[in-house]
Amino acid sequence: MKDFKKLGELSLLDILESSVGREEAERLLGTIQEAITKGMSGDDLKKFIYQELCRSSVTDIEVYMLFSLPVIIHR
Amino acid sequence: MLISQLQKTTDCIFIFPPCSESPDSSFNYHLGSAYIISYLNTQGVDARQYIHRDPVNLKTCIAEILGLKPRVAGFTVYDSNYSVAALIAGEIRKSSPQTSIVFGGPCPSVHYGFIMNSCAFVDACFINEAEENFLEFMKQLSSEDFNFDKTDFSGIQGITYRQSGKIFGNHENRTLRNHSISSYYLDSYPSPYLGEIIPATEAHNTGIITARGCNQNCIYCNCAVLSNRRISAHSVDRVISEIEYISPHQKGNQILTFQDDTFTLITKRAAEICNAIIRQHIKVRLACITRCDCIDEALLDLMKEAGFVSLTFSLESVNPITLRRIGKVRPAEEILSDNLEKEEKFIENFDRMAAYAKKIGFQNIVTSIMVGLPGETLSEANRTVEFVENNKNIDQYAHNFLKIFRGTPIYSNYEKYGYKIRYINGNPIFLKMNYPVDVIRKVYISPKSHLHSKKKENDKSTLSILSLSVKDIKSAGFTSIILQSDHVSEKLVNWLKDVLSINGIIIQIYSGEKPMKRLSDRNYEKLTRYSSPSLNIRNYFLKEIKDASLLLSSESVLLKSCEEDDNIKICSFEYFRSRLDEPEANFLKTFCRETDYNDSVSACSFLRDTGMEKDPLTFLTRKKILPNFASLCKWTRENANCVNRSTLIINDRSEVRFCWQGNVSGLVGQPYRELISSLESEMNNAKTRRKCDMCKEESNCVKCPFPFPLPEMEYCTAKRISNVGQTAELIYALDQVKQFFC
Repeated sequence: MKDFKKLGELSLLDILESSVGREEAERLLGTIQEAITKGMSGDDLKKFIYQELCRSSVTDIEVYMLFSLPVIIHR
Repeated sequence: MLISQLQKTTDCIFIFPPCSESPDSSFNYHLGSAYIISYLNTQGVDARQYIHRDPVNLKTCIAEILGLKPRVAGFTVYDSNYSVAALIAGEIRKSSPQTSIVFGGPCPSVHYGFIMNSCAFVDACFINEAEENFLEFMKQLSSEDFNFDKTDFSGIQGITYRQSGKIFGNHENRTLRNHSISSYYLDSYPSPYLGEIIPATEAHNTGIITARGCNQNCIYCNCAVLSNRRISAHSVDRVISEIEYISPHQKGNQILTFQDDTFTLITKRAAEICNAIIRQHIKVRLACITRCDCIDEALLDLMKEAGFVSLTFSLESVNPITLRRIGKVRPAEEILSDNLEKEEKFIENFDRMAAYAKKIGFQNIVTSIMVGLPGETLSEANRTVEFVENNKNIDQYAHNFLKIFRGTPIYSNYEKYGYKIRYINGNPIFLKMNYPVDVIRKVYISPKSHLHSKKKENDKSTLSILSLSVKDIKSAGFTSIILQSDHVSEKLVNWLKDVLSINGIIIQIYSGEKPMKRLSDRNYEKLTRYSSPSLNIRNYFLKEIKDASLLLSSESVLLKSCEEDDNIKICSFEYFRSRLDEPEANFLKTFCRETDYNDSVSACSFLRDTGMEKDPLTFLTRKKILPNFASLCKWTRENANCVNRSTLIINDRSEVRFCWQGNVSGLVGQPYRELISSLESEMNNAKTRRKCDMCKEESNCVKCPFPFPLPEMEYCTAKRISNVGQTAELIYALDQVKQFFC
């Protein structure tokens, strides 16, 4: 479980670096900066960032419970 | 050829309404009904699933279902979607009396008597497995041109039905019971995946089943009762062909779940499935439920190699005497013998298996416990929680409170253990437990529990709703309402049927903890009694702290998690700005509202100053995580609730608003269309008044109709001459990082 008290004291950059690594975080921010420079904003930028995060992240199954409802109700 | 093929009708539409505990409001695939559809299709019956991915309101949902012209509407019903299923079914009956309405699934398998007696619009309930019985039902019905009253259903098993106002039934259902496990009788039902009833890309949501039924003796569970303690299985070849077909469609971290009650009940068969996956080099990530007495090190090794990454052990208690009473390890006894050797061994095994699974690299080890079990003392219950908390091999656990369901072995004699059950509105599907000891308040809930995860997810989604930063979804109706009132009225519930999407989120904010504790049950009763389109309710109350307020939830009270950083904090913009650079400040769960003119000016200048930084992106990513803002939307191009119309705010005078600072757009009871017209009129008036058509920012501005407390002209000037809009859009976009990782 992530420690929320600590998370809230970090910057977005710290969180990115701790989640995907420093190199990937820098690449990600560079890509976002490039998109902004090209004029991307609003929802387009939001979707773009989400896609890039999905590409960068190799999140483990930290919160996965078989006894949680979304699974049970599909039986 | 059935008559539907000539008249462009559909023989049967299966409907799986969203469940109230689920955050998902869509009408999705369901593995159980997909099995039936698959079977019916191969026998020439035109059956399909009603799918609606986005939130949908009652009116649109009914129109879409009836647009398919179903002869039969079949509902998959659980306790947690019964209320919505009944609401939709009732509306279908009103609009299309000729459509037969059938309920099936776990809830009607137990509560068929209550459902048939209390819901005149339900024509039939199916009990337990329904593939063959439903086919017979459809054949009989079509042979009488779908005239329900004329049809002879007397030869069908596992059904109760209504004809000419009278209820008949043949409740016995022996379909799967007459076949041995080794006959692989389940293979006679075609695969919902191979038959493309469920797309393989959906398998991470729906899972697969390798066997049905349970042969255990747990007195609190219905699984063994409903299956008559028999197991019916698919052959290994069939299981492998499904996994082989699905696996290339699994993306990234997606997991395919075996939905069997306990996958390893027959260890030899589980090993055969694992060996076949390994032999055929299938790459797949798998999860299942198991028991520590149905698994060993060798099987764990095989499972790991086959691709299992997550295991859930059902444990329930670490007190041997409790395990003995609930029949977890062997049949329960009325008079307990002294010998608890098997139960002690069960607990030892649990410890050993969890440790071994962790050692060989399973990523996620979960267990389930239950408190409030028969004869259990508070210290015994707390001992179980402490055991799980201190066990470093357990990543998470499900903290369940015993619920005594009708049909379970304990239901016949629960009173002798001191339990009391109250039915909400006299409905046995909605029960409220009263325990002999106060397990709800006096048993410790560890941070490893699923209840803590649920609180975290709920708070995150509530923050998003409060800040009116809605998702980009096309919705019929509002997907959430914020109710700032202690009360729920009949008028409100009836109105929700028009304005709120099915299973939409209801955030009720009480004036204090006492009103919440006193009134939340009563309000829930009203929502069920008057058939709310959603029972997806989150109860909160406000608590004042120094310079801010806390929004505490009913979960905060249950989890005794009422500290500042654990809950949603509501503050002014100035509060946030003055603390932004303090090392210990934390805005992760903060909702920031502009309180007065000065606060609005401060917010505007923060956005302007940030925009003037040499590199705003770098500036913002190096700052502490920002709060969720109530009024940031006014600076964006279109990211506002007045445009997306996703959330409604209702106060205790029944006044309805689209934004925190907005004018009243209507009253509870006014039709959806009228509310939208009123808002549009406000927006058009604002545009005309401000001459937005002539403004250079016209295409980049949301043209907020309610910029208060900032005067209109100051709002327009700031938008025209500064870069506040760009900064606001950037903050919105970067919020994705927070949503993704926090």
